[in-house]
Amino acid sequence: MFTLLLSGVHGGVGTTAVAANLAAALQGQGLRCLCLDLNADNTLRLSLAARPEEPAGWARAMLDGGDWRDAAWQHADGRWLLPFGELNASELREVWRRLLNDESPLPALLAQLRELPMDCMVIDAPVVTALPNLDSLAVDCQIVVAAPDSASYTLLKQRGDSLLSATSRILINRLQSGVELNSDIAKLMADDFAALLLPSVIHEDLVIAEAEAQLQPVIVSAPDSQATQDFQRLAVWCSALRMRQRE
Amino acid sequence: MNNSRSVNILRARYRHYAGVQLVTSAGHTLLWCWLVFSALFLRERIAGHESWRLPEVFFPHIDLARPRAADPLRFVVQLFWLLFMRPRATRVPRASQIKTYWHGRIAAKGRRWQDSLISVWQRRLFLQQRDDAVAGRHRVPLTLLLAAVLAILCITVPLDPMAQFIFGGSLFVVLLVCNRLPGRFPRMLMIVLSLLASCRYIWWRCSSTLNFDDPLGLALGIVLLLAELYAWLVLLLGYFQNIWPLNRPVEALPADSGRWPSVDIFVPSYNENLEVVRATIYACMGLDWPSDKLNIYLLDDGRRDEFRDFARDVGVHYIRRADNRHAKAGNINNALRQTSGEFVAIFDCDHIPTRAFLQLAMGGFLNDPKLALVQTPHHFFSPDPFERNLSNFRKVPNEGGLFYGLIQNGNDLWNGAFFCGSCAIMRRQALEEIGGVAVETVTEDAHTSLRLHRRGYNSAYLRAPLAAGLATETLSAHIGQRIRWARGMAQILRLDNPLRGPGLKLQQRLCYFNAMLHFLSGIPRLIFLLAPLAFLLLHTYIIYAPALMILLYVAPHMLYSSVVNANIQGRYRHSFWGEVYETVLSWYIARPTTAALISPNKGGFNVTEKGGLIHEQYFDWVISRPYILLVLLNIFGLLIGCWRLFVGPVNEISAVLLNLFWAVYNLLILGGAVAVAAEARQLRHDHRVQVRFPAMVKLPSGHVLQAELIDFSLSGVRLKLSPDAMQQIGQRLHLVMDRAGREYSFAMTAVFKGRELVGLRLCDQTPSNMIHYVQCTFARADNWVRWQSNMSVDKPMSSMAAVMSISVQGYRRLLRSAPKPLPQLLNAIKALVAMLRSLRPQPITVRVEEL
Repeated sequence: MFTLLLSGVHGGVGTTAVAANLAAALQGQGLRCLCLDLNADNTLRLSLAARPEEPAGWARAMLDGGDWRDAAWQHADGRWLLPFGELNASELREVWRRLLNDESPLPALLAQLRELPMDCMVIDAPVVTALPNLDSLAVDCQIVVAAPDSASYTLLKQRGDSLLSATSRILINRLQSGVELNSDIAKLMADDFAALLLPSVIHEDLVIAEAEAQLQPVIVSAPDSQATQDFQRLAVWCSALRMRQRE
Repeated sequence: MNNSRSVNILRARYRHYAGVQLVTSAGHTLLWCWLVFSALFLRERIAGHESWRLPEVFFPHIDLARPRAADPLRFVVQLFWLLFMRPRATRVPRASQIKTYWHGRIAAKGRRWQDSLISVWQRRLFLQQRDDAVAGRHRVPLTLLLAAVLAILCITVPLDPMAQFIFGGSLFVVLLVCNRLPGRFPRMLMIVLSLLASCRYIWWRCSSTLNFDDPLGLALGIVLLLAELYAWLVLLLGYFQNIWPLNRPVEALPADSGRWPSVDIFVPSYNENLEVVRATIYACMGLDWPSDKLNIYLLDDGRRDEFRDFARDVGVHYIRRADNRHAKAGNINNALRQTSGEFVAIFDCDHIPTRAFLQLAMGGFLNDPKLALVQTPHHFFSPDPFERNLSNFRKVPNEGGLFYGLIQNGNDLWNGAFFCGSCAIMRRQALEEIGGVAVETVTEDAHTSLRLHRRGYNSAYLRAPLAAGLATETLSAHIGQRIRWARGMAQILRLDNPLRGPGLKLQQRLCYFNAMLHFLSGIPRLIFLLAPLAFLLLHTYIIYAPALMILLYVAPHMLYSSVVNANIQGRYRHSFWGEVYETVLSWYIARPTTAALISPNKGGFNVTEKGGLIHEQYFDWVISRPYILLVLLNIFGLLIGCWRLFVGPVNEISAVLLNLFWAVYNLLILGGAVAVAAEARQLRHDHRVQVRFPAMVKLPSGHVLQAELIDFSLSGVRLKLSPDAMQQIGQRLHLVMDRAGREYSFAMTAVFKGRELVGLRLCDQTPSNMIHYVQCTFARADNWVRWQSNMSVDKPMSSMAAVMSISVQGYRRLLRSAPKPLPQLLNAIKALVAMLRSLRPQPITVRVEEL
């Protein structure tokens, strides 16, 4: 199974929305998709229209000693979702302790997920610094989501070496084309990380937030919007990468 | 001495074959024929044997020196056996191995070996090598001589009708086969065949079609013959020019932009609208070139304050001068004195460069210090009068298509690509060496490059359309421009004849000469348009030959050349369109070229007007007057011809038919010319450029929609959106376009809204915004490259059909705009035709139930 991991350069760059919409676009291209939430916020499920009061998730199952299979849901469009689960503070502390341990249960979980009869897995991961041993997951591609702002650029420049690996690609999200600052920083990123930058960007668009409120992916709620085209382009790039890696 | 040696070798070979016995006279002839043939035309070794020995190797039972009656049969049987029955032979040592071995021996033994006794085998090898040297030295000139003799035979031998028919027909089959083959060599063979047919025709015309007993016929015949000689010469030179179009690749610049030279951009203007100039200046300001090495100069010969203010506002240099001496050339020379960049790029004020222009065109200069000129095509994003009035914009290659697509490219092979006044870069030092742009003629551009070539400088032509401009608006302006070119070329021919004078290679002379000759086509074209009348009206035989012979000679000449030209020019000019273009111009360039040839120093520079409006559709009676006269004459001739057909003697019928055909053809071409004179409407000030590329629409609500740009002009764009997206479009929005990975947003107002299309007007027209806007639209690097991709390749028959329909349309427009009774007549004819058509039985559909 082709594994895509998305994590933000810093918080608030919109990684979860990108993960949900990218998975929808991939599903739309005929790839069976599994969305895995590694964030303790457990917000990916909201984009995938899961019932908010449902506490189940893989972390919940891990703590309770249950099976993660009972926590997986399928969206109407065919995407599968494995949420993090609703945890209280002490439970969260326990989960983080295990995850940061050398004996992290995550690789085993991923190995099991890879056995599933699906085509690709989109992982919505926390900020790279929050979960440092993400590279042990052996993903096929890590998409580092950056916003065209000075914080993203500074962090990319400063921590580029630890942030980025051989499979990393930078995605610029929430680009406002009329805003000079946005265009300038996007240009700087393009100049400095030419080979790492993904060929497409995601534009800042109100429809992304609206789609989330409507519990739908953008490609369904606003097929004419630029965001739809952006996500479809990104999905095409991902499936092309998948084809290349299979060869 | 060489000759005697080769004869000795041949003698030795003869003796080898002859042996000691008596040689019959037939054998003598046969043997010599074979030996000469093999020495001249065959490789030294074939199938592992010396070629001259092939008969005795492969036909051992045939004695060349003493042929017998049954030998032909033996030959055929043996040949059959060799080709189809014989088992594969064992390999013999390769000739090259023997050669290398032998070279070693020569080196070791020096020249003494000649005296020493060497085995027969080695001696034969020596002889063979010596033969090679001799044959090689003689083969090229001898082959050429033989080819020349053959060609002269083909051209001059008179044939009876049947033989001429077979000659022409069989070569035509070869021509058609070659036409199917890809590559340049079949094309060259086609050219040779066409030359053969045309030369044969011209020879026949010169030698046996003038009637010296009829003074009027002789005089008119000589006039027609001269016109035909002109056309033949142009054909010949055209083949030479286009034999191998160079298609020069773009040369890369060094990666370090510090080594790029400084460039001055000159935008000369005289009376053009500021609107037209603005786009050009904006595009120049966005050229991809280090800004400290790029200076833009607006050369204003009109001394207009609004231009000065505009230049100041956007921050480009502005040069004006006190007088207008020498027009554009003087303007550029004046600026040359005040500037200092290493290179000078010249754009007419309506030619908008794409941002990649300098980066793509400058590479050659750094690699070749003698390169003085790089010319790129003049590409037009608005239709010229031909295209507009015939409504075939972007469907049929336009008048300039042939020149910029093929001829300049062909010239480039001979280092003869010349300057066309705009969209070009020149080396300042070379330009200063020849005293700046030439001012003696009204076509300063071609004259300047002629001088550069005389000084030993090189020129280059890049076929990529890197700039685009406005075509002339009206037919009269278009013709005015061509008159200027024609007059200027005729002036150069007189003042600085490329066939004479120092510094040029023969090929360059021919390229320039052909370019100038091309503009002298006016009078010959008029002669062709009038020629059938000599017989139909005056009843003189200007081609004094039976109609059948004329047909048999002229058909290969016309047919071959049109097939070959369709093959060579297919993508750049469609068959028969050249005739239409030439016919329109013929009357108007005939007088100025003749005048310029007689007194080259007279006359001034007329400026081509561009960017105008045509509010009403109208028929240009003034411009079309000469064509209408020619049409009337040809129609009169046609009527007289029909009368002759029924009243005249029977033996003249074929001649009448031939001339009638000619007159009809003339009417067809003239109809095309008449059609051009009916000016179509041109209402928009800014020309819309049809494109297709993605864009974004940002709504005030914060939504961003995907859209496709359908066309743009300097003042706005049209977008295509999905019907659903269209519902969200309000009056105010932002259009986002991408340029080299960076997005620019432009505030727009919707001026109309359809189901899928929305028209937007640019709100903010301040210079800084306009620079970005022009960069995102007109100056896109890949804008014009795919422009011609939907243009079809020439198919002579469908091209003929297109010209025919244009011609009919022309006559219809003419009649519709004609004075009183004629439009009514047209309507009456149309009504009659409709009535007649309604009489025919109509197909009906029968319901099954009724059966």
